[in-house]
Amino acid sequence: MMLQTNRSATVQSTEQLSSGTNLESEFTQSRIEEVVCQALERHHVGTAPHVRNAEEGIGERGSFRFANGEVSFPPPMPPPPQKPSLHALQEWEGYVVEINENDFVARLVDLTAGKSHETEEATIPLDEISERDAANLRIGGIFRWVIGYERSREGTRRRVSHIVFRDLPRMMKGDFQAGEEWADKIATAFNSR
Amino acid sequence: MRTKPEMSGVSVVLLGSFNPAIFTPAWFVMHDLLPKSVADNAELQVAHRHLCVFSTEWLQFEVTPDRFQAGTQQAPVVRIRDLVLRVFREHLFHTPVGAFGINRDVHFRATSRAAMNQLGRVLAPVEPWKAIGNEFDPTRSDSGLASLTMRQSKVEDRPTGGQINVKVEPSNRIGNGQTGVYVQVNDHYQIDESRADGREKLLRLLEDGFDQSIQRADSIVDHLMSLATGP
Repeated sequence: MMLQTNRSATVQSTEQLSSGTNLESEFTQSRIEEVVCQALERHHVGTAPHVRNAEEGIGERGSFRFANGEVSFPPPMPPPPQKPSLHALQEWEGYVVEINENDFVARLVDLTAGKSHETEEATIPLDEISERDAANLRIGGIFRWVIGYERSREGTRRRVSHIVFRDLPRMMKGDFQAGEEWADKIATAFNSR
Repeated sequence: MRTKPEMSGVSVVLLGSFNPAIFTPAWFVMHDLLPKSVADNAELQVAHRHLCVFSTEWLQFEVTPDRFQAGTQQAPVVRIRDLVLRVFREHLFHTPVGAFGINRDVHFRATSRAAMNQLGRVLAPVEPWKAIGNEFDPTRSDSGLASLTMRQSKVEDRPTGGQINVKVEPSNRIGNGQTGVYVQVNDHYQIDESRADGREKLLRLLEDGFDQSIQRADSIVDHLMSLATGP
């Protein structure tokens, strides 16, 4: 089956742009230029006389043409160095149940195996976590533990273990209301039996 | 996944009305969304009222007036979900959001040039294209499948307008044009912006559906990997 895929026939895209995609560089000058040209086009309407007289909209990449000349963008900036990437081979979600002098004990949910409840317990040295996380360590703290391999900027790979404590969104009033509604629904279901 | 990807990443893209000028590393520190040490080392590329772009050790960030994008190439990728939810739940309560996408990007190597060709032939058979006079010589790396996007609409777990888009291309990043494959899975959710609870419903879909979306994307990539194996 063939689908009509021109822009006007489809919803606005939420595809990722730039970094991580298949583009040559992580972020290109053309993206900056595109946005600046769009901004100039928007101002076309009535506010800037010199823009109102533009012969044509966006010219060739890297320039914007006006009736009395052409504005050129500076030469492209070199792309920023590529960040190292870390791909997870094994991932757990854990929560802290005990804190000791040199380590902490956590219960783990094996996400890679598709588990939804904890099946393992581990004692993890404090050296495995960042100084910031160690300073904020508390019972009940939730973290992700990833074992995977890191690809450096130069393309070399190495296995790494990485623990990151989550900055979870705070519970808001609506969350409590939703929880209460859920609890009422469950209670009603039990009471009706 | 049956083949270890060379590179992988995740991004969350929101469509709505944003003010790019506020999204500086300092703003994230001020609201305790990023640690000061991370923000201090951020590479700020542009901070302008029409565009803000910066990156930190694990986060790549880009905002225009109609688009908010946060991505990472470093596991655990759930950090992106948590950050986006904190930004829009705890700080930008009234910012309109009409759609979001969870994007999974993977670059992997086919087991051989022949396996790479096999993937292209399976996804895009050459027979219908012979009328244009090109033989699509399999020994050449500059002919054949350049880009293919497949779309699933009417996805069950989301409001009308949601889609799953899968893009397959030769990778520009790995494999020297011979064996590198790039796959992007765009998991798109949208909602009628006139609904009073539309924004909250979208954020709830992001909160509840993120992990499942990544698992589904990985299974799609895994299937494509199965088509790119062989001698």
